[in-house]
Amino acid sequence: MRITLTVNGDRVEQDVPPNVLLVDLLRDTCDLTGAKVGCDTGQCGTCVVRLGDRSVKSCQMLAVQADGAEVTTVEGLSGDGELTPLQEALWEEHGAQCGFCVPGMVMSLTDLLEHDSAPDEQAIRAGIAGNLCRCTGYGAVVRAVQKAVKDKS
Amino acid sequence: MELLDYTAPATLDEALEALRATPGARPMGGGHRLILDMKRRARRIPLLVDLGRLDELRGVRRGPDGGLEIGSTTTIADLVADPLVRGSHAGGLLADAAAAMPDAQVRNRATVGGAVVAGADVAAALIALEAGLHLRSGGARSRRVSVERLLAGEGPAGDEVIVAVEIPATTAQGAYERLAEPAALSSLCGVAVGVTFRPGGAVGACRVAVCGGPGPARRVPALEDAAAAAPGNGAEPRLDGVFESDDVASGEYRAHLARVLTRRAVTRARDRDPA
Ligand SMILES: Cc1cc2nc3c(=O)[nH]c(=O)nc-3n(C[C@@H](O)[C@@H](O)[C@H](O)COP(=O)(O)OP(=O)(O)OC[C@H]3O[C@@H](n4cnc5c(N)ncnc54)[C@H](O)[C@@H]3O)c2cc1C
Ligand code: FES
Ligand code: FES
Repeated sequence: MRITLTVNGDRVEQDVPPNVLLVDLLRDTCDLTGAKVGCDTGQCGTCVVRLGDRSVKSCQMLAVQADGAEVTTVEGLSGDGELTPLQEALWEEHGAQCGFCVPGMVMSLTDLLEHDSAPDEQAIRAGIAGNLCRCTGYGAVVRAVQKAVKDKS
Repeated sequence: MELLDYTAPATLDEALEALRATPGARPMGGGHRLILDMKRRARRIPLLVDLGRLDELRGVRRGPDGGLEIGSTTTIADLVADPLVRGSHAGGLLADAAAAMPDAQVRNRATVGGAVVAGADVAAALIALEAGLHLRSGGARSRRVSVERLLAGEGPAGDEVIVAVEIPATTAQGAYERLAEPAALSSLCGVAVGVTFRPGGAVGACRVAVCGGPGPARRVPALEDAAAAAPGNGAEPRLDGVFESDDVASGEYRAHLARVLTRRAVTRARDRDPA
């Protein structure tokens, strides 16, 4: 099936079989390897991207469901080599060790901060309820978001 | 993942026709259950009919008799954010039940129609709210059935589409309580209540629906009677055979949870009661 979507501002037109997942289209066809497949069952959140103005798990979506949509991956959040204030704060607060979970964390938290500019700790923890981290843990991530919120205000 | 064909019709009539024309075809809301099932090869679907492009099926409206009409492809996130829902007696209960879904990303995609068919937390809440369904199928066939009855039976027929969920206007207050299984975070047992309180706070009428375990969400009259009995007056409700056992919990344990969670949910509903 022929689909057309916008990925990080670029128009992508592609023939895809209906059983191709959105995450596979992004990684294999668009060469955007920020979103990862950690579990493939909707639990770990390493595949989170933005669809329209909401974060979604791209391993639980068919590419054809994104026909006509605007998709943003972690690569599309800021210019080449630049970090968003949230990413900067994650860096400074040691919110990443191996980094496998980080693109998904960043996309979930970007969505959270877009819909709630001053989340409290409970809201931050709820915002990453669908993201699993196997090495850093969540304390540093929570502190980083609190820092990003404080720096902005 | 086995999926042979996919279509995303622009009108409901086209969707119904596609479902009728291909035996085994399934309608898809958000796909958050179907895609998992296909990955597990639990089902082989010759044609997926994506309802996601049908604007007529999305959104919340005020119904003719003052209740709520919820389009079946409304996402759970949009449902609980909707001002009509938040301002109604259903707002608190639906928000409680939606919070039982694992995370914001799942709530952003999973739809109300899919949640009814899934028969879990949100379905239990809808049963407590006495919600009805409007279903359509090819050839202009249409029927109405309650969520309770649909789940007690076979579910929707293969070529049927849930068009809307209808919540009647009442003065009942609702709340949902659950205990999650720690690994998968699905509900070991969840209890939704819809309660009317007498002046002074005693329970008048109470509807109780439960979920958790192998079967779909359902009403439990014994819990309703117990909730309506004056405190200290009723014996513990007998729940023999109401809950099934599986590899995470015994039916007996779930029955115990249901008694405790019903009391908690009634207390929570009372705190919400404006009177
Ligand atoms: C990792 C993970 C964990 C989850 N855990 C939970 C949980 O704990 N509790 C919970 O409630 N949910 C949970 N969910 C969400 C999900 O399983 C369903 O509950 C969800 O509501 C399905 O909605 P959907 O629109 O994505 O359904 P789909 O996958 O699109 O459809 C599910 C079923 O409903 C049918 N269907 C969908 N829409 C209609 C319609 N309008 N008319 C007729 N039939 C229809 C489909 O044919 C299919 O049989 C989880 C999801 C994931 C990915
Ligand atoms: S890969 Fe999508 S949630 Fe784990
Ligand atoms: S930093 Fe390694 S999984 Fe989170």
